[in-house]
Amino acid sequence: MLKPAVIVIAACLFSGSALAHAHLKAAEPAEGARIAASPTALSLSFSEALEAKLSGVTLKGPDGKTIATGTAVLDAKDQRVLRVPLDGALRAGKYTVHWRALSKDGHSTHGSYAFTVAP
Amino acid sequence: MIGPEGVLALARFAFYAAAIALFGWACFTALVAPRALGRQVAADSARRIVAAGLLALAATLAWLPLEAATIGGWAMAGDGASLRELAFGTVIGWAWLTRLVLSVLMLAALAWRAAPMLGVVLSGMLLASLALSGHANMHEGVRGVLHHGNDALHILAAGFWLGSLVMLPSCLAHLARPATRPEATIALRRFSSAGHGAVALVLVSGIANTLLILGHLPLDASSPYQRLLALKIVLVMAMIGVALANRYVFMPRLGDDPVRAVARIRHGTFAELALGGGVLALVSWFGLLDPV
Ligand code: HEM
Repeated sequence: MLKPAVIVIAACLFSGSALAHAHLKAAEPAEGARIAASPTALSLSFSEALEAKLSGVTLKGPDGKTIATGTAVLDAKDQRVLRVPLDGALRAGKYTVHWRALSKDGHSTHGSYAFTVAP
Repeated sequence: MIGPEGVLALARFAFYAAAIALFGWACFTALVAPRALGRQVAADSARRIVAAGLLALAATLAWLPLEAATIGGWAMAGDGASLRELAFGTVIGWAWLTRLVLSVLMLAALAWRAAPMLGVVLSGMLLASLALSGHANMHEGVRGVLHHGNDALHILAAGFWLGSLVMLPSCLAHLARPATRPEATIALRRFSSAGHGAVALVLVSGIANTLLILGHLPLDASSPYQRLLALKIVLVMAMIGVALANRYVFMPRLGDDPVRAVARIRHGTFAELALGGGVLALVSWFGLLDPV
């Protein structure tokens, strides 16, 4: 008798699931975007809350060299959003963001995307 | 070449097996067996249980560098600064420190032959603390608390069932001896009535865990996580079948033909243990996969 009741209650409470590993949902500048002005920061939104330590990005410039960025921090209101301040303006060209995300359950995911600065 | 995930799964398996053996041992000697039998079984199994304590500690020590290797490759497993960041700067790091302290305390309790109830508490906390580092961390707020509580309940109930099975062969050996038969009979009765509750809890909490993580039954065969979880459920069903046969077919025969009945129950126990080992091996692996 107990089991069906628990299933029904659980199904109501918990319907819809989250993904336990952090997947990139959106980014600013967005993947494939062509933007006219150099961004002042990168913002990456994930499906899961992240650990600030051990999550971060490497930004590669048009020549393939790594560009120094500020330290990646989590959004104060939403731990799923990673913000990376940029120190200087980006010149025209194609940039690749390599990201690494550690979710709270200890799983790490990584990936990359590119955007173009075209003033 | 086996990658970092594979080795981490092995460490998880070793930890599950060791911690469950410790919990089953503590519950059996402190709660299930009458006093004299509890003492005797504790003395008989003293060495093996210290080995389980050492295995729990060794698996814990290996866990953090292996977790690091799954994040940043083998180089990160040997990098002190990254390990410190992982241990002190993340949720799973704190969970790991908790397990490290608890497994040292558990070994100390065994070495100093502390009161058996202390062993129940420490090994229970050691098992329950697993809930702090698994998929239960995917939710925040009320749902997160429910998920952690349910996960802890699931591991404790499963640990009681499987851990008691580890102790059952020694209990059965005492059942075969006239001097210890009365106490061993009491222990077997107590285990099988508590076992009903534990199995029911394992099922309910396991279903709740599935719904919390996936939101539905594991029916999508294209997802490795769901395939392995479904296989786990099949193994658990087989365990329940064997347990029911032991309880309702062979236990009633103990009066008429004790030698054969004990032999049957022993075989059934080993079958359940083998299936339980398979269940742990599966969770060690699919607990690391993306639950989609
Ligand atoms: C003998 C029976 C069982 C044993 C020994 C067992 C053992 C375990 C263990 C050790 C864990 C890992 C907990 C952690 O590290 O956080 C676990 C997790 C889990 N169990 Fe069980 N279990 C059993 C039965 C079941 C059943 C019947 C179901 C489903 C109906 C189930 C569903 C799950 C789920 C969904 C998880 C979460 C895995 C994850 O973290 O992704 N279990 N179980």
